[in-house]
Amino acid sequence: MTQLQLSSEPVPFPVPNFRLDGKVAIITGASRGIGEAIAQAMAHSGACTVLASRDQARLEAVAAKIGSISASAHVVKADICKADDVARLVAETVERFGRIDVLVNNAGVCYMEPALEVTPEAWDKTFDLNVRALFFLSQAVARQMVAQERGGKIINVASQLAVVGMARHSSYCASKAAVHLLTQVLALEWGKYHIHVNAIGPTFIRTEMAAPNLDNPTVRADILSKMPIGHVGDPVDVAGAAVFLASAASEMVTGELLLVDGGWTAQ
Amino acid sequence: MNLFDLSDRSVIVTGAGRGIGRALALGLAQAGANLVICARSRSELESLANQVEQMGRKALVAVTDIRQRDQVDGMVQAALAQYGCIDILVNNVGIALPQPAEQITEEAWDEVVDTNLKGTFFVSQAVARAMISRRRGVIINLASELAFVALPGYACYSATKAGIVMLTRALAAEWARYGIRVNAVAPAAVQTEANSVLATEDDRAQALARLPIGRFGSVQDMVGAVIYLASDAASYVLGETIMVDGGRVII
Repeated sequence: MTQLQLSSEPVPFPVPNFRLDGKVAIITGASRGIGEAIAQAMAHSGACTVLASRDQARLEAVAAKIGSISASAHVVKADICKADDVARLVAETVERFGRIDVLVNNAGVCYMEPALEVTPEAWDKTFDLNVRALFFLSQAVARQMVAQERGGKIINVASQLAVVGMARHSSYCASKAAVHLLTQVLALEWGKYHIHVNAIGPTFIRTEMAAPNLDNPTVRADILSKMPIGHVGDPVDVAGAAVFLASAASEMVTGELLLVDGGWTAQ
Repeated sequence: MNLFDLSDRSVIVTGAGRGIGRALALGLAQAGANLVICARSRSELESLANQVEQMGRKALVAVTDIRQRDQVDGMVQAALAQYGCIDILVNNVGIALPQPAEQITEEAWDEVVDTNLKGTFFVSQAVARAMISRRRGVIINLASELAFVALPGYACYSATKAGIVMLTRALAAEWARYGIRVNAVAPAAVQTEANSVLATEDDRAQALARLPIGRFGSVQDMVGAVIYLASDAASYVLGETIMVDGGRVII
């Protein structure tokens, strides 16, 4: 029998590298909340960040904070539901930094309504941004990554609601489940180009987007009762997962949904 | 700010003598941790301790059969005597004993279950008792791709690893109130001396065809996920099993 030998002699041991020095990372929905925290954490880890959202003023404010960390931040006002904006986001990034190493698909929307009252318009808006825009931006960035021939990392911010249900979240849950499976298929298709595609599944995190839930005492109590960890997480709790998945420390991780949920889905 | 820093954390690694456990021990030491390294063979542990000490970290050698409760208790006491507390436990020890299901004996079944599942649980229990009083701790279990996908010859091993995945969730939910985070890492077939899954060219070709990433993992590939879970970067991650499998289970 062939033995695959692992030497037990002292050898220089490769250190897992969580740094992102010189990596070029696009983060969508970077003007607030989880996207802002991810952008800041990636900048702290050495990345050049490209901040995208529709809100130029808030992007500039995030870029100013990142500027004080000393890493480069470039702002691109873009509505990623529009093909022209997607093309311009990719082109501007390449023009400014020469390449793209990391894409964080963080932009997302959630309309909370009972399923009996969901309108086709709200359903379409959810899927246009959460699924369709995510796919076509990933495609545009992956084409660039394939051409670069140095692999890449795509990180989709999904949700714990990709794997557990919640009342009044029908379109959102369906869209995040779609992102989960899309993550797997893109990982499968693009593995041969060394493009890793993973997702993060946060629970309710203290952000503006979650405020309508967290500010309602009944909903808040219900949410807390389902979190073994006993407190609502902060955006920075999600950022650690994003840096791990963007870094060389996760080179064998692809197609994964990394849940950052305080134990919600465990029980 | 280094989110992934483990400076001065005290870490127990079981099954540390070789393979993934040895790589994890070295990686954790490089991230700053001081170690308690456990295995049944002293000689492998002593050469590992030398390597760790060359990095400027401490390594307490604890020759332990984790199936023996008194030895586990002794190991935990020695760890506490050395470092004063235990910050992180890595339940890495595991055996496979692959054979066709129709030929598995009761003795072989018990040996695998006692080591992989019962052993992991009672080491966790012994260590958690010390963590509970501090309201702080991290436990990381080694699961496997075979917790999620089947491979002929590995019925018992797969059952224990699926058990590890659920044990991880159960203990995470139960011990969250004590500030203890329990998570797991699930490797795909990794090239180690003990790995019978990749024994022949045919085995390797078949396994590779099912790895979207296009290469086998090495033991070093497991280190990043374990350091991430051990660190404050994962302070909101509980009950999770991170697949470090090159995409094996998504096919």
